[in-house]
Amino acid sequence: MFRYQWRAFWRRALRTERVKFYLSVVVLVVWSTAGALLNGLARAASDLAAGRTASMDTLLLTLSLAWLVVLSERLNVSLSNERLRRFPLTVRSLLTLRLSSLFLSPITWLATLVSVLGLAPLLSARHPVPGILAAVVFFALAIGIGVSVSQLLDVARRTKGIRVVVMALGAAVFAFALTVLQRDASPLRASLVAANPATLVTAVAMATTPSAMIVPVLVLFLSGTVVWSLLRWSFVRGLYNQATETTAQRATSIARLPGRLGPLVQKEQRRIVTVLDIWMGLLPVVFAVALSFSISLSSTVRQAIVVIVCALNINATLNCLGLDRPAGLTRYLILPIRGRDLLMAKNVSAMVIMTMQLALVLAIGAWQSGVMQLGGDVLVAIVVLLAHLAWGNLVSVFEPRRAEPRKFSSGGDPVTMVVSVFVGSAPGVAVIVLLGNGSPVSPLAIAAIVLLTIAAYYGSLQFAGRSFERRVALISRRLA
Amino acid sequence: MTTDSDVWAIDARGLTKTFGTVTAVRAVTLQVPGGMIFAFLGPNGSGKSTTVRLLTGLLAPSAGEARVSGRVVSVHDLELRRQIGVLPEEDALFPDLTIWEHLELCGRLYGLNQQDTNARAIQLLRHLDLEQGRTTIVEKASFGMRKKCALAMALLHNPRVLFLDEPFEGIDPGSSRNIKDLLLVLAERGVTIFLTSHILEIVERLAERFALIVKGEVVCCQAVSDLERDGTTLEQLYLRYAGRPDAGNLDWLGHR
Repeated sequence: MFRYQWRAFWRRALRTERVKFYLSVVVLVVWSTAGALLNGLARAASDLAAGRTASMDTLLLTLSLAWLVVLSERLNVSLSNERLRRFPLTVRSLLTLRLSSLFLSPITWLATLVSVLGLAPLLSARHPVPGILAAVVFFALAIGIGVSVSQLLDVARRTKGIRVVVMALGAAVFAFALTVLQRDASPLRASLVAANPATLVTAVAMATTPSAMIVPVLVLFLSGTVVWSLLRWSFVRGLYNQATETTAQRATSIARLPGRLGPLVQKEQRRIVTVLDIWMGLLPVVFAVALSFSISLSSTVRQAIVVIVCALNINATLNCLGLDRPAGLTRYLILPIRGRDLLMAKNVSAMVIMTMQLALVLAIGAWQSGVMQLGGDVLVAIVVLLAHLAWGNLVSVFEPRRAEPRKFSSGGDPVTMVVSVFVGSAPGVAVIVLLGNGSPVSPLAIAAIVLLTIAAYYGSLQFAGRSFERRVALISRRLA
Repeated sequence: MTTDSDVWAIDARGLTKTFGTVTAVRAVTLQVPGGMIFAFLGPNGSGKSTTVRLLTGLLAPSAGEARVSGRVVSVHDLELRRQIGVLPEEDALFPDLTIWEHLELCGRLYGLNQQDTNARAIQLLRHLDLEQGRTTIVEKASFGMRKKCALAMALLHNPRVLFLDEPFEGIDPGSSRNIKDLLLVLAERGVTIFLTSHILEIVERLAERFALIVKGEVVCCQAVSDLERDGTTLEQLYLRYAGRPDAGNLDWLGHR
């Protein structure tokens, strides 16, 4: 079965030009981190030889977090469990296939290679072999947790209860960690740092006596059992949910905007909120709220947060066609609407979502600095939003990539992503600088930037709209 | 003085579509007068749906030209889109909208007011036996429900020319009967209907003329009434042109 999975994966990767994405990620990651990794490996090895474990702990933790990120990457698996369930395959075979499918992507190969390299410093430890075995278990735990979380999110799509619990738990943990880490001398902070699970590996590798290994090995073993159970449970839960899903599920109610394009905007909103990327924009908002209880946020900080929130929402602007499927694109062609109308509907829905995220930051601004100060924040928000949308429309039409609901979908070419963050943020940053320096020419310069951004957005909408109509067949193939 | 293009509701001349080295449709020439039910038949992969896409402006031809309602078919012609109704082969619906929301969206985009949209949508849903499922999200709807929803969308704006790609596929007998009756009434009222179907009995009962396309080329185009005169059935004619696939040696089936 894996052979077919492999074939299907690469066929799709070649057809949708996703290979370019893999290649650019590999090149970029190797280029940007090779030096730091080699230094880290050397430092960890010399520290371990000298009996110090802190740098090895950090290295292992970083690598395990990298695994979590890798596993959040959308996997283009054609032979999904949903489709395979109709065949006489046991849960174990399906789970094995799911796990083996993780290793189809070159990004996983890279993570595997880096993890193997990460084991090298353990050769300088007091007990290299047990240390390496413990590290392998540790990485397996990270993979298990990553896959379980991904599966639970998938289940949460259908089970509102779990979704609420996961979100509440995530928010509580985040707020708690934020509060604790803000206090430098907090004993809790010290215990949080000490609770780094990677210390279990170094405890095994550097144990002074064989009996000192027993506790960390036991903890690793127990964690492994728990994670394996979680993995299996979440997998079975996912399968079970697919099998019992009701056919008459009702649509999420989302307020509809008036006008001819209102229903289209509503459709887009309903779709866009399912992409996990856009929820990342809430993190800086939560950060700002937490921070605002202890200090008064300056207007520059608030405006910088506005820029960051928009940058984190880049997947909504940069790939606005990503959630469409060829059949949906056909419907757009059947309906009497221009490409620019379609893009505008998508832009408005992205704008509504981002405005809702920014509302809290703007409210803090109004509360702490007064309503008059709000003008600057709103101006920055408008300029950044329009700049992102103007650039995003072009990228969406010329470099569309398939996005999946309930997954992290920022699978775009990293170079394009970096350029896009720069292009989208630059006008906003310029406005922030001009607002801050108080020069007499600042109002004129700000007005010029605002007008230019509006013109750029209008031009992009027209051009990208026409290009969409011309390129729809190509876009359809890319999103298939 | 009337020209050819005024006479024909659908007028295709030398329509050709090439995908890379594959020619999906080769020099298709067809004329369909207004108010006629015209069936376009052919085996799987013969080019039926590609022809429908070419005639509806969903695909640009590599060569040739088509006119529908007197307008040259173009990918960018919004007026043409307003005049025609299309039920594509794939239902082309939005997975996250309910059936009712699809009709609302359609009404808005075709410029109908809310009152007309609601009234027409209710009548169409009732006629297609889809009233119960109006709040169902399309992603969760059955194949037949999706097909009916797409059909209702094609009809909502009261088009002059209807293109229906496999309209009876996956439809229950009751609704199928309703759709057949509806198509006959529409044709009587002057609506031109271009449909593809694999169900030859339905075609024989509904259509006035038919064309048969095999490997991208129209091999036969005639009136259904001529079949009786020639002492043949549509199935016999179809098999004569399209051939009958070799069933092979399936002796092993049913033996354990």
